[in-house]
This record gives sequence, C-alpha cells and structure tokens, in this order.
Amino acid sequence: MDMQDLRGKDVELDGVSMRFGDFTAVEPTDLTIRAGEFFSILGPSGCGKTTILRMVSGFLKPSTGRIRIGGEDMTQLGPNRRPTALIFQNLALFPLMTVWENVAFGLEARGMPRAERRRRADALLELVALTGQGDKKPTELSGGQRQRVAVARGLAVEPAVLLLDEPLSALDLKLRQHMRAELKSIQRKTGVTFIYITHDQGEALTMSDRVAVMNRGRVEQVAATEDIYDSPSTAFVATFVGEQNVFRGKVMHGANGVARVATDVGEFTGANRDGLSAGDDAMIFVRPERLDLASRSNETANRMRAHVERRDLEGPFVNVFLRAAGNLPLVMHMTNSGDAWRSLEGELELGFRSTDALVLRAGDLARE
Amino acid sequence: MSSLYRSYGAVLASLLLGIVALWLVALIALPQLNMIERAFIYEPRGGAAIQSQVDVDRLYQQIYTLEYDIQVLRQQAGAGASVGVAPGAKIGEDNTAGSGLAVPSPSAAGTESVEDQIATLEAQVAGLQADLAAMEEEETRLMAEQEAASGYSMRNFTTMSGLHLRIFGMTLLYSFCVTLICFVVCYPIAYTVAQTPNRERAAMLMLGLLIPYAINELLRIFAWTMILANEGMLNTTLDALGLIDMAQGEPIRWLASNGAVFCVMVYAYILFMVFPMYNTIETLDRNQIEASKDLGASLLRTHLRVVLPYAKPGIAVGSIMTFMLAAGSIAVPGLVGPGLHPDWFSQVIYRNFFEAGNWNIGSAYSLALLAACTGFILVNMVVFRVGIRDIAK
Ligand SMILES: Nc1ncnc2c1ncn2[C@@H]1O[C@H](COP(=O)(O)OP(=O)(O)OP(=O)(O)O)[C@@H](O)[C@H]1O
Ligand SMILES: [Mg+2]
Repeated sequence: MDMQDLRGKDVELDGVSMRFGDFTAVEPTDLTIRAGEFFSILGPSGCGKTTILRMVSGFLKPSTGRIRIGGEDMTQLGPNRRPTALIFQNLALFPLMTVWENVAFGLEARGMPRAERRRRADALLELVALTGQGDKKPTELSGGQRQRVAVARGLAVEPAVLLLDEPLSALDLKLRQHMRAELKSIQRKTGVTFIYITHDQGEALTMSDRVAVMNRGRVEQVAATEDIYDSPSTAFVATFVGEQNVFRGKVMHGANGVARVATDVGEFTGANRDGLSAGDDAMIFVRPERLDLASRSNETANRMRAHVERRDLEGPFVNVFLRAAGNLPLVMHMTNSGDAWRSLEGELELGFRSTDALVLRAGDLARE
Repeated sequence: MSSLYRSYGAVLASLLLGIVALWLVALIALPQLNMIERAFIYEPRGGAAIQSQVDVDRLYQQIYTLEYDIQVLRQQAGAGASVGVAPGAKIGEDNTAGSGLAVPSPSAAGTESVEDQIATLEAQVAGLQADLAAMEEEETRLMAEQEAASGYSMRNFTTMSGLHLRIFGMTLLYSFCVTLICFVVCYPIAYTVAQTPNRERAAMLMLGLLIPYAINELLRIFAWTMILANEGMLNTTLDALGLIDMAQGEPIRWLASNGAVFCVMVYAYILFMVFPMYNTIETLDRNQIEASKDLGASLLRTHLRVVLPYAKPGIAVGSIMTFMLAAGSIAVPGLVGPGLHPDWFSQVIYRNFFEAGNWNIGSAYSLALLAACTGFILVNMVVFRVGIRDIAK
C-alpha cells in the first residue's frame, strides 16, 4: 500500500449522547479529534468508552447530537459507509480465512481482483512486520501477531480514522509494551487518525498526543498527555491518572490563583485552579513524588506530621507509606540515593511546595 | 471403559456393558443383518416354474375327475342300469373346467352303451397321463433351474422395475428438495435467534419451535391435511378473502401435489435443521459480523464469507438429518393426499413388506435407500469439508 493513499481526517462530536432505556451511557459530549492525531479515551470500566467508539464507527446511532468526520455529517450512515475501521477488543479475525484473506477482506468487499488484493495484503503485512505470514491461519499466530493482523485488516480499507477498542488488553505486559511502540510507529507512518480506547493510563500517556478522560458517561477533561498528569482539571482526573495524596477540607481564603484550605491534617496552600472562594468544599492533591521531608523543604506553609508504616524499595526509588492525623493514608516517593531512606522511621515532619499542590473543587475520586 | 469400571464397580459396570452389548446385537446388528441377508436372496414369484407347477396340479385334478367318472359308470353298469353319464369335463383343449363331479344326465344318448363310454374315458385318461409325464419332467427341470437361480444374488436389485427405479431416483431428488427448502427456511430463523442479543427472546423463539414437537407426529401431519384439504382451512380462508370462489367449484387442490408433501415435510423436520444450525451460529462471535460490516461488506457477503462458512458443520448435520428423515418418511407421503402425488420410495417399500408380503424385495429396496443416504452423507461431508469430528461437535 502506498502511504500517501492514507490521510487522517478529523472527527467532531457535537452534543452526542447515548441512552439505553432510561440509563444514560454517554452524557451530551462535545469532542474534536484532530486529523492525524493519536487520541486516547481513558476511563474506568463501564464509563462509556466503547459506546462512544461504536457511535463513531456507526454501529450505534446517538440519541442526540451529530458526528462529523472530515467535516461531513456521518450521523445517519452505517458502519460500512464511514471512512473508519474498528479494531475490536477481541480482534474478531475471521478464523476460517488465511491471514492475507483477513487483511484483504475489506478490499474483497470492494470488488478488487484477487491478484491485486494479494499484492496489497502483502504490502500491509510488511508494514506491520508480518512479511511471509500471509498463508497461515490466524490461530497459527501469536497474540501480538494477531494483533498486527487486525491492524493491517483495518488499514487495508484505507480508513481516515482507525478506532481501537482496548486492543492490547489481552496481551501480556512485555508484549503490550512492545505493541505500544509498534502501534505508535504505524500511526506515525500512516498519518491516519487513531482513536484509542483504554483503561490503562500508562498506555494512554505513552502513546497519545491527547487524552480524554471519561467518568460515568462524561468527558471530564481533554488535554495533551503531560497536562493530564500535571494539571488535571477535576478530582476524578487527578486521582485516576497517576497516584495522589488527597486532603479534604474547606477553603479559608482564595485569591490570586492561590487558595488556603483547612484540613484535618493541617492548613495547606496550593494552586487555586478552579477559582474557589472561602467556604467552598475543596480537595488538595499532592503527587507522592512532590511530597518530601520538611527538613529538605524550605517552605513552611505546608507542614504535617505522619507516622511511617512501611517502606517498599522499588529499585531506583522507595515508596514510603505513612499515616497522618485522622488515619489519613499518605504515600511518598523518594529516589534511592543511598542509605537515607533506611533511617525513615516513626514520626516524620513532611512538607510540599505550594506550587506542587493543586486545590480543586471536591468531587468523585477514582476508586483505588 | 476402565473409567467405567472404576466409577461403577465391577458388577454394575459389567451389567451396564452387557445391556449395551445386548442392545447392540439384538436391536441393531441382528435386524440389520437379517434385512441385508434377505436383500440378497432372490425369491422368484410367478415365474415359469411356478406356472408349470400349477399346470401339473391342474392335470392331476382332471385325471382324478375322469377316474371318478369311470368308477361311477362301472357301478351303474354293475347295477344293470342303462343311464348315461356325461363326462364331467371335456378333454384336451379345455383346461379350465375344474368341477369334475359327475352329474347324472337323464337325457343321455341311449344308443351309446356304458361300456363304450368307459372306454372313451379311459382313453382320455391315458392321453392325460402321457401329458402329465411330459409336464412333470418340464416342472422338475424348471424347479432345478430356479433352485440354481435362487440363493445369494443381486437379482433383487437388478430386477427393480423401471417404474420403481424412477420412484427411487425421484425420492432422492424430492428429499434433496425438502432439505434445500428446509435450509432456506431455517437459516434466517437460526441466524436471527442465535444472534439476538436478547437471550430471553431467543429462548421464547426456540420454545415456540419446540412446542409443536410435543404433539404426536401423525397428528402434526394430519393437522396439515386439514389445512390443505379441498374444504380445508386454507381454501376456506382464501374463499373468505374472496380470492377464490368455492361455491363455483374452484377450490385449489393443494393436496394433490408434491408441493403439499414438501410443505408438510419441511414443517415436520424443521427442528432437525434449525437446532444444529442454531448451535453453531450461536457460537459465532458477534464481533465478526460487525467487523465484516465495518470493513464494508454487504449483508450478502457477510453471510457468504463469514456466517455460512462458520455454520458449515451445523448445516451439514442438519442436512443429513433432514435428508434421511425425508427419504425414509412414510407418514407424510402416506397421509398427505395419498395417491394424488407421485409415489415416494418409502411407500413402495411399505407395500412390498405389508401388502405384497415380499420381504426380500422390501429389504433390498430399503438397503438401496440406506446406501443412497450414506452416499449423501459422504458427499455432504466432502462438499462441506467437514469431518466426523466437526459433526460430532
Ligand atoms: N446495548 C446496551 N444496552 C444497555 N446498556 C448498555 C448497552 N451497551 C452498553 N451499555 C451500558 O453502558 C455503559 C457503558 O458501556 P461501555 O461498553 O461503553 O463501557 P466501557 O467504557 O467500554 O467499559 P469497558 O472498559 O468495561 O469496556 C455500561 O454501564 C453498560 O452497561
Ligand atoms: Mg469497552
């Protein structure tokens, strides 16, 4: 296949929602996915990711709203008439066809002669590093190879948008990491828009250009991967992506982008991203790697005492688990820079910089 | 086998195995072997040998009659009476006269003396006796010939009349048609039920298909004859709708056709096609159908390339069952307008067994049908490229 045949298109969801009976699987959502982008939808199980994907691919008609691909309204078109290809969670390869017939199935449906189909299938198999495997049956391939066959089959119809529904979830960790890189490189080579669904934040963060985080049918935040981690916009996003120490409390005063919050553990100051004012219920989020011994921090605004419960050495760094006042669990990451961590015992004085703390409106947290 | 012994103990396991063996031998092997043996024994009927046997018997009877007449005349002569007695039977060309009792005839020619009559009769007897010798010789020859001909041979098969051969062929063709119609009817049903996301509805549909099978097969078939009869429900309904006018004497004769037989057979055997197909299609991953659609395949292509190949083992099993049932069905062609549609081979077999009493021919015909059905199974397996193991699944 000639790479220039492939061109990604943008996808636009305009007030799209999905109801099953009186259960709302997807709340009205506006979302724009740029052409040629690797876009991930991240969220816990049952939050409506697959439902969104099925609406984009045309298997579900949205209850409200419109879906546009490349500026064209696709809301009323069936899956076979959209420039999308779906990679199923279980791949759904055709077991009775050979690998190359699988890859060329979409071309067969378009009436392409057999020899030409074979040629294109072989070219695609080369793209996904499966040269010479065309005459095998899918069952004769390994999990990772089957995965790539599914991608090749999707790409064969020259889609503008490739939709992938947790395609790596069935693979073991090692293979998963390998396939992440592989998928990312295929996406770069082809320039097709990838919409990638996962509940694995590591996957979303390493592969994507941008990520949408969903919870209970709502898109909570859409942002570039680094922003998702560093400046989450809701309590859910803050706790779903990466680890967090969470302190609940009430805002004492908030101004100039900074808020001071009273909690059970103490009074803390952090960045006031939501513009909260005195009396609002708030949460303060501090990443474990930003929590530090007070002795090493020269900031005095955010201090607390906590009791060490356990230390886990993870090679390059150490996880220190602590309990603060009110039985609040805390975790602190320290780099393994010698013997310092071995002496961490009993009551400690901890602290963090105000710029490392985020004050957000109180809300849903991601369950552990 | 050893696991059987382990789980049931020696006594119980032996008993179980014994029962199974008995069942295999007494209810399957022996009757089958008996049938097969009969099929290869030719039992001539109405041939030349039998004809000559009949002729010889008849000749004997004539001789007895004449001798009786002679005796009667002698007694009369001894009594001094001069009453003439007509011969009970004419001689020679008239073989059919059987009643040989001498009837006193008062109008006999008085001129002829009793002695003359006796002499004539005795001459006749002598002539007949000569004939008899020749015929008995002929009979022994023919019987010997027949003796040589019977015993094991293929003659039960090779002497199948042209008509029966045609019925045999047509029956296979009809059964094939029934199987095909059954498939066409059942595939959409099996597919819909198997792929319905709503399990409860699928269960209800299956139940709906099953319920008629709780009714006796004959009743099920007979219900159709009530529907299809000239004054039946179908015609009455059409009449009520004004599509035909029964008062004018134009009921449609549904029963008098193979169409009616096909229709009833499809109904009678639909379950045997639906269930195997349903079972295979049910295990087909819905995502494969969606993947096919997503890749741009039409509905037809999705079925041809994805669903049908997958359902092949089920289709093969369903076809085999339906075909065998249809080819062997006696109740349906027997009940649905018998005599009005072309005969089915099963009816010919039935008549051989129970009307003509010719079990050997009947066995041979059954065996021929069995062979044809086995052939169908093998062809089926080759065409669908399924092995015994797939079917067993
Ligand atoms: N056809 C349907 N009828 C009724 N409810 C449905 C249907 N499809 C999905 N749902 C419900 O909608 C919600 C969202 O489902 P969806 O499959 O989109 O979740 P998901 O985010 O893909 O989850 P997972 O990560 O487990 O795949 C779930 O609560 C599910 O039960
Ligand atoms: Mg899902």
